[in-house]
Parts: sequence; structure tokens; C-alpha cells
Amino acid sequence: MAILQYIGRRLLMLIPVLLGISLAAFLLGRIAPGDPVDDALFRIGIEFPTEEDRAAMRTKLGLDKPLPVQYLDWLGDALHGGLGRSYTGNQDIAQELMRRLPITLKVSLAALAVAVVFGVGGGVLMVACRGTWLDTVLKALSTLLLSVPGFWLALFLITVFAEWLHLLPTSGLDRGILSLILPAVALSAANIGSTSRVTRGNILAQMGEQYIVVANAKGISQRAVMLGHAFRNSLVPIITLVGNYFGEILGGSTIIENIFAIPGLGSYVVSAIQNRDYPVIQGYVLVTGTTFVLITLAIDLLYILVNPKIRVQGGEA
Amino acid sequence: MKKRALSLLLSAACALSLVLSACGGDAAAPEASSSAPAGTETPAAAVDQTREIVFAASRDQCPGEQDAYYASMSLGVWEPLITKDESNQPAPALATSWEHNEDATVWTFHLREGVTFSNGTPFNADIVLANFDRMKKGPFESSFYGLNIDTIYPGLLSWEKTDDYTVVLTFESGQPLLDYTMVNYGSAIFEPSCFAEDGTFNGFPIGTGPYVVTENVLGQYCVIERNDNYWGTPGIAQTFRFKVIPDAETRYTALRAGEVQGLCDLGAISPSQAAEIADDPAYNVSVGESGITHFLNVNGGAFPFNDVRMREGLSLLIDRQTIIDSFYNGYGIPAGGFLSYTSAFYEEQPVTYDPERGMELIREVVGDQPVELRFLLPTVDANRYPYQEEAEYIQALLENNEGTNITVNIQLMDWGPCKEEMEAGNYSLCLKIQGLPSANPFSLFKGFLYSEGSTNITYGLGYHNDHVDELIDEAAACLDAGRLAEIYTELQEISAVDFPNIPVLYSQEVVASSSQITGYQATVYGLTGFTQVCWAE
Repeated sequence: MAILQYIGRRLLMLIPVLLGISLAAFLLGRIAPGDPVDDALFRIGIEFPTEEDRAAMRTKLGLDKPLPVQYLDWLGDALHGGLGRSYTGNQDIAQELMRRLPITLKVSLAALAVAVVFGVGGGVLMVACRGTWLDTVLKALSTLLLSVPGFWLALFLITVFAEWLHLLPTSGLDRGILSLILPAVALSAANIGSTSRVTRGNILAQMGEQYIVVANAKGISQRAVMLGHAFRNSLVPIITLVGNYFGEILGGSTIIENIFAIPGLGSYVVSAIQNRDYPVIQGYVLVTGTTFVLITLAIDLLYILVNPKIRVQGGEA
Repeated sequence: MKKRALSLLLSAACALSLVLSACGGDAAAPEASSSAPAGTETPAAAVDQTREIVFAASRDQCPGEQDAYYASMSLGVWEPLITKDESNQPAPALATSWEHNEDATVWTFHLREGVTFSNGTPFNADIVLANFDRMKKGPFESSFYGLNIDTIYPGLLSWEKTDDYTVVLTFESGQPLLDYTMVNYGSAIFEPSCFAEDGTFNGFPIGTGPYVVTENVLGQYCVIERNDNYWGTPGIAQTFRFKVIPDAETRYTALRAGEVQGLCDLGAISPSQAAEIADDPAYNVSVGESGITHFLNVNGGAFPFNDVRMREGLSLLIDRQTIIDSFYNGYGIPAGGFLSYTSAFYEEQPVTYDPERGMELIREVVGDQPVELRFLLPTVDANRYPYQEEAEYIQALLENNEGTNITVNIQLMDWGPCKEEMEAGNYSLCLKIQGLPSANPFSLFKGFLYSEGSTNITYGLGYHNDHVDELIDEAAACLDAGRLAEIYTELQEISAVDFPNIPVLYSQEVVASSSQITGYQATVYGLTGFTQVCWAE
């Protein structure tokens, strides 16, 4: 019961959070230099507009209204499930975002899985081989992965695995799971590096605790001590880290989706920013914000599963 | 323990490699063989042409139901009433001939007989009238050219048929160059049943062209198939797939990896990439005309570019051929005039490189006083063209002018804020491309050269010439096509000495394809499109 109350309270907290980020997105869009009116006129065949053309388009787009009215109009529509139509292409934004969200989630979750498997696995392997050349190599590799920019790594991976080895496709999503491998690796590279280092550090810290000494004294094998006790107790900070990665991965997907020609939310918002397509940018912020908050909630619930000592008390974890 | 961990790691790596190899076969494996369509007499007639040919482009070639044309004209799905010939003059397509009355207020079009749409509907005057009915519901957005009846057919009063193959358009005022504005996208014709109530499309477009759209996934790819009932010479290849790959590097790698057989559309391949494969027999690089001109826009409203000697001096200082050879790998033509060489009204203007005279003129204007110039580069263009290198070259020319004290600060900026800075006069120089919005260049001249011209104001060019204003006013009311051509020639001559902005180079369209296919040439939206493209092996 307490856990349901907790989930309910967290979901209610979504409302002020989303209001805050939608307002911030709205204001940032309007404050940023640039005007969507000329672009909108260009797309309907008016390349050299008069002031009258501009004024008419401004009215059509609703940009002649005071800023608070524009925001409240948008919010009213959003509360009724509508996010308006895009300035570019006249698309139903809600439909377009919902069409693209699963694509971005698929790529992001694949990247998260890669980060967890290789990051945590790498960290455990480093501890298991502590002090050997493999530990040194893996530490150097994790530093390298942390330092390499994602877009550069993406181009490097495409050149090696698509152009030279012909093993994986350069772009698109038409080759099933094979299409996901390179974007997922490029998106998660830095996270693999940091997760493996954090995992290594946490396990080593746990290995110095008194209960480990007791476990060793009982004659439990080194592997069982490490995986059964030290590793499990080091998971909570790693889960927190992985939860935070999701936001980074969602943000990073804007560039990676463009490089790998993935028609997800990232490529949509990049083009919207270039065209000052305000309704699309606001819709994107709303959808990704909601997704991120829900993922964070799921991560919080995971704590309870991983560590029974964490209990929901009065609705707080 | 350590050995086991290492051997596990290596085994996993080998297994992953094997799995990837097994799954990594060519997705576009050849299908069952069949020959080219009967009657196709091409060198490729004996080659299986049913295999899909894949092209990659930076944008959707079928932007879909909300786009005014649904598909790019290059795909050959639809055809216009009027196209253009090799000298860029209006040429017959679905209209075989046309004429107008003395004051150009009534235009009569004679339509091609025996043409059918891909669904079997015959093409006739009723179809053309229905297309005008649809256009009147606009304007319609497009990622190619916006469809706006008020700019293509200004003051159109009525559209009627006099028989099944003759259509008459009546205008409020004379439109002596109507056939130029109607070229290609200006007179696209579709079978009316593919229009929704609001004039957008209710599904795939139905045209009279040699190909039909059979599949379209927005943002990913579209597929076109040969229209075997095409009224003209049919295409050779059975199927084309056009993938969207926005990133230029990825697109190029897809060609090198054999995933696609060609790169098409604007910015298909960068000049440096094209130079890399130009001598490789595995690829074909084709260079064609482009309507794009690269201009060095100047703030003519403020010192020092408010002095025509400064603008001329800078123009004389620039070695355009060096820019083309060094930064564009030779793909470009030195520009001397305001109007693109692809315009039917183009008059060649001299391209003069005289650095001594250029330095002298600049010294006359600025003397030895310290002058700071702000050189803006819009990111949208700097990402596609070597603008940073070009700007640094111009910076070096200006800063190393003996006897002057000029400093040039280069700033990369998003196009939105860049335009705001230009309009506010907070800049000195800005590199920017300009295309040809219509075959009739009137709006281009008016936008840039007229004192109240929209681009003259928004780009902060500060250009003013009373005689130019008079010429543009005269052109706006002129009903004589011959006199209009004279005015356009004079405007080009004036701009070549007044330098409202400085033309640097005329772009060239560069495309590339694998030598597995043949017949792919760079063209500026022509009717041939992909009909000649086919497998070579």
C-alpha cells in the first residue's frame, strides 16, 4: 500500500515538473534569436516577402499574440491531448512524436543495455583481474571511451564495421537488430567507460568492509564473496548512475540519430530547432521530459528490489 | 581463473564476429533474373533490370501527403505542363504549345493527346482545370518549391477549356513571362482523385510520369516502380529505392560500402569526397549545372562597404579560381555577375582578378586607420560548403594589404541570429548562397537590388540606385518579353559595377554513383530523371 502511495505521489509530482520544463522550453524558444516567419513563407513559395506577408503569417502562426497568451493556448491544447501542427510540413505533432518515440526508446534502451552489460561486466572483470595487465588495459580502455566524442566514434565505427568489414549497415533501421548495434555502441561508449570505473571502485570499497572479512573467515570462495556480497551491495550507486544515463542518452541521440539516419525524436527536434519550429520543440520537451521522469521513477523502484534495507516509509523511499 | 576469463573474452569476441558475419550479408541480394522490358534498346538490355537500385539523399524524396508535390520531380512520378530545355528556355511537356494575346492577359495552352495517368485515366483539359481548382485552395508547403498560385499565376482571373485539349488562362494584368514561371514545379499535373478535400494528397500521388510511388516511409525511404504504361519512352530499371541519410559522411560511406548505388539531390556528395573517388573506376562522378550562386554579402549601409570602391576593391582582390581549386576541388565556376548562369536571362559578366588595383582601391577608402570587420558565416551553409577556409582566405587578403590596418573577425552563427545581425547592420561581410526561385528572375532582382527590396533590407545590403529602381518599376509593369529581357540584361550590367553584393562562384551539382549502374547524370530538375539509370552488370 505504501509503495502505491509513493508511486501516486511521484506521478503527481510530474505535473509541476512538466509545467516547469514546458515553460522553460517555451521561453527559451522565444528568447533565442531567429524568426520562423520567413522560413514559413519560403515554404509556401514566398521567397521575397513584404511586411504584409510577414504580418499575415505571424497572425496565422499565432505569433502576434502576447507571450503568456501563446503559452496558455499551447498548454490548453496540450491538456486536451493536442500539441498543434508543425510549422514545417504541417504535421500533427502529437502523432509524429508518438510515431518517433518508440524508435528513440528502442535505440536508447539498446544503448542503456550495452552500457550496463559492458560497463558493469567490465568493472567486475577489472576487479577479478585486479593488478594484472588486463586490469590496466581495461582501465585505459575505459578512459579512452570516456574521452572519445560520440559523433567521432560513430563515424569511426561506420567506417570500420560498414565500409571495411561489411558486417553492419551504415544507417537506417531496416536490418533489424544489426541496425541497432552501431548507434547503441556510439551512444553508450562514454557510459561504458564511467560505469566500469564506478563498478570497479564500488566493489573494491565493499571488499574492504568488515562483513567481507567475516565471509572470508567462514571460508566462502573469493568469487562468491565478490559476486554474492560485494557486487550486490555496490549496485545501488550504479543503478543511480544508470538512471541518470538515460537522460544523457536521450540528449545524445539528437546527434547520433542524425549520423545513423534514424528517424527518431532526436533528428526531428534538430530539424525543428533549425527551423524555429516552436510547437515541435515544446512537444519534444514535454514527451522526453515525461519519459525521463517515468524512467527515474522506475529506477527508484528498482532500489527497493535490489536492496531490501531500503523501505518505503510514509511514501518516501 | 585469469586464463579462463581471458579465454572467455576471446571466445565471446570470436562468436560475436561469426554471428555478425552470418547476419551481415547483403540485404539487397539479387532476386530472380528477368530481362529489361521488351523494346528497350539500351546496352543494358541483356542485364537483369528487376533488381532494386538504391540511392541515398539528404532529405525525403517523397515528403508525403502534406507536400505540394508529394514527390520530387526528379523521380519522374509526375510531369508538368511546361519544362525547360538545355538552354534553360521553356519547353513543351504535357502542353505541346502555347500562345498569348498582345497584352499577355490571355494565355492559351494546347495539351498533349494520347497521354494517360499511371492508373489509366486519360489526360485532358478537365484534368488541368481540376489542378487549377486544387491550386486555388493553397498555398501549399513543399520542401522543393512552395506551390502558391498568387506568385506563380499572379492575378489569375479564370481557367477554362475551349475543347478537350485546350485550356485558356485569363489574368487581371499582363504576364509576359508566364511560361517561365510555369516551368517544372510551377505547372505540376496530378490525377485529381489523389487530392484530399483540402488540396493535399489522400495517398500516393498519381501522375503521368515513367515511375509510380509504391512505398513511402517518411524519414526513412520511398520506393518507385516503373510505369509500364508510360506514354513516352519508359524507364529501364524496374525499381528504385531512395533512402534518407542526412549526414554527408554516412551517405558517402554507404556508397563506399556498397549499400547504395548512387547519391542524389542537393549536396549529394561534398567536393572533397567527389575528388577522392573521381579517378576510381568503381565509381562515376557526374558534374552538372546548379542554380546556386555563392555571394559575399556586404553591409553597404556602413563604412567601409558603403563606398563602392571598397566593394570593387575586394572583388578585384579575390582570386576566384584559387578558391574553387583549393576549397571546392575544382567544382565551381568563377562568378562575375549577379544572375546564375543557369538562368535563361543570364548575360556573362567579366570576372576580373587584379589584386594590385584591388589593394589600391581599398587603400583609397580606408587609408591607414584601424578598421575592424565582422565576417559572419551562417552555419547552415558553412556545414555544406568550405566557408571557414574561404573566409580565412578573404581574411588574409584584407589583413595583409600593405598600408592598411584592417582586422577581420570571423564568426560562425546560426542563420536566424545571423539574419537579425545583418538586418540590424551589425556586420561587414557574410557568405551566403542564393538559388533561382523561378525561371523568371524578376523577384530576385527586386529582392536584392530594389531600394525597398526585401532581401536588400533583411541582409542589410543598403544598396540604392535610382536608375535600378526605375528599371525594376518598369519591369513590374512591362508587357513586352523582349523589353523585359533588355531590362534584366541592364540590371546585370549595373550590378557588375555597383556590387550590391559580390558574386564569388557559381555552384556545380556533383553526384556520384557506383559503376555497377550506368546512365546517372547530374541534372537540374530535368524530365529525364532516372529513366536512363540502370544496372550495368
